[in-house]
Amino acid sequence: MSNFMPGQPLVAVVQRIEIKKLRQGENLILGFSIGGGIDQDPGQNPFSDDKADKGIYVTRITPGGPADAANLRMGDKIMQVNGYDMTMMTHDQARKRLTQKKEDVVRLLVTRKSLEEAVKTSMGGCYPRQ
Amino acid sequence: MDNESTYSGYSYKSSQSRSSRKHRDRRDRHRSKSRDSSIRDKSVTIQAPGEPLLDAESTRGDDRDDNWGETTTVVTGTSVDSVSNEDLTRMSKDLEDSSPLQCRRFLGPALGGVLGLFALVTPLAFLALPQLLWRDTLEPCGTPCEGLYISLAFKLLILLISTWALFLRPPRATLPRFFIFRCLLLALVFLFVASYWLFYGVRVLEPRETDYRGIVGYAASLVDALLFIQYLALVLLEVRHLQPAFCLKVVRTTDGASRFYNVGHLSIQRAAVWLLDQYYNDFPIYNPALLNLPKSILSKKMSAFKVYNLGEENSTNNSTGQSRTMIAAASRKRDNSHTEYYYEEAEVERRVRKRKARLVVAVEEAFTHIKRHQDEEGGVSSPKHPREVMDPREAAQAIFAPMARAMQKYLRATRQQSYHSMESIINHLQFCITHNMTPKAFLELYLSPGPTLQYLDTSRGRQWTLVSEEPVTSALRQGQVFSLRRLDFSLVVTVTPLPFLNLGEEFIDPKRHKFVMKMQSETSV
Repeated sequence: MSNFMPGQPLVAVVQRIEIKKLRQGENLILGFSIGGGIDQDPGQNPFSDDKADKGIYVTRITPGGPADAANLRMGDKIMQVNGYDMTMMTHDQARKRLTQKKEDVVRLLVTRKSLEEAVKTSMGGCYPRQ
Repeated sequence: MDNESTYSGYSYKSSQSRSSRKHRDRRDRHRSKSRDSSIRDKSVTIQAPGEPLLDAESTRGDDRDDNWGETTTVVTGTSVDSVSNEDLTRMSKDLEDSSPLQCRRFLGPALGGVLGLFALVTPLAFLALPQLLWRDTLEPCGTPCEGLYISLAFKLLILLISTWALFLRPPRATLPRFFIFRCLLLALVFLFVASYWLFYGVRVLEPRETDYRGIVGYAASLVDALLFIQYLALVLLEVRHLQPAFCLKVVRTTDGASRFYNVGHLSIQRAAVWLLDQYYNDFPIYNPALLNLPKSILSKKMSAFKVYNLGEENSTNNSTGQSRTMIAAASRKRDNSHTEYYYEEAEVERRVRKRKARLVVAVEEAFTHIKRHQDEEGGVSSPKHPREVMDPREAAQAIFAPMARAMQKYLRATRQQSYHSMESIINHLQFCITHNMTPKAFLELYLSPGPTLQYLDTSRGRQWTLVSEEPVTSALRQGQVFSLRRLDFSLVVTVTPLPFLNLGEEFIDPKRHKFVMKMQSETSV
């Protein structure tokens, strides 16, 4: 994930992922678990490069669930959910954003390390980095 | 009704019967009849022979004193544990119970005292007899003997002092059987001293032994042995039972007051004595008036059914059948006695609280009327109305008047009126005034039932009966049950051993106290 400079706009390569919620009983589930948040300890995050990164990460994917079907991977950092920014959210706020009862579908913008590598190799080193 | 006679010493007024003069007159006339008509009239008053004590004071002519003298029955001098004043024969039996024979108490200690004195005198006799009888033929014995004399003297002094400290204490109880350890020790001392005398008689007196140093050494060894016997006595009588080994649960049969005590290895009778000491301290006074449900509630159940015999001649068969059908029918009937009991309880509690509030206010106001008189030398200013200086007794009597009525009503509400006569209240008031107590400290005696010891006349002894299935000199064991009985209640004691404690160890290095923020919480969505 790109280095985060406070006060500077954040640049990242993201992938758009759309997950349809599955109804189980009276709950709508997405089939993955999140960790992180600005109120959590970032040093515990096994997926982040920068151990000061307090973003929301995907920590587990239920195999065969909606998130798995939509190609969400473990270790993804969620940047946006349905247009709402997730980089400066508390853990509980993030959870609430994802589990709105009125929404059937969540559109996530996620970023992962392999995306950057893929872009770099495909662009051949001309990718503008800040 | 049978059970009325036990509680007949009290008069309790229900909420219906206020203390109006008309009602009191009616009650006076129906005094004997009201015992039976408990269904319609809840107040029961029995004239008791103990009352004439108060009549002298009740002739003051005040309203409240008439009230006081009529409805309060006072317990004087007999055992306060069972309060029934109407039966004179019972009172005399009570007197017998509470003052045991004075002589028997001192028999055991007297015997021990004689033996002890004999044992103490023996070494001196050992030393003195050769000097008196055959002084001329004795070998002179210089410094070693004098050293032995000194050690002998000091040992005897120590023996004397410790005997006084340990054994010459007035006994607190007479036990039903022999106190085994004490008998053992007395026998040991007797045997010891007797054998020493035997040896002395045969080996020293007969042949007129001339080696005086040996005789002095012999006497010194006797004193040493006596000191060791005293050590044994100390351990057996005083020290062995200090380590707690059993837990005794004591339950009073009449009102269920219970306590748990830890004791060591004792025989049943010794444990009983120790327990009774604690009983007088810890258990609140047994008040028979506080116990039962009001008669109106209980009697309704019984009078609801009448069973008729329809021609059957077999009477024995029918009586059991009759009672069984009555009980079955009574249990099937939807009875509301529990709601009545609940409301009655709530009513009583409310009344007690109201009277307590009045009492507290009255006492506080009364206490503001007096203050301690400070001696002013030379008179700062001549007072306009010179205040009369009173001693505590007069001050108490002066401020008792405004609070008397509230006090009387409160005592009657809590059924304590038999424990506190007017005289005792004034005495207590005088005591509190003398010691600068606040009204709250004065009221402490009346607001909560104190330990039994507080109400006791300590000049008399108390008679208790130890009821046990095993011999009372046997040691305490797990699962034993024995009871201590008095005339109208008993204490049931159950013995359980204290658990064996297996204490382990865990060492925590102080540097190991470290903290981290909580793990990243993972929420599944």
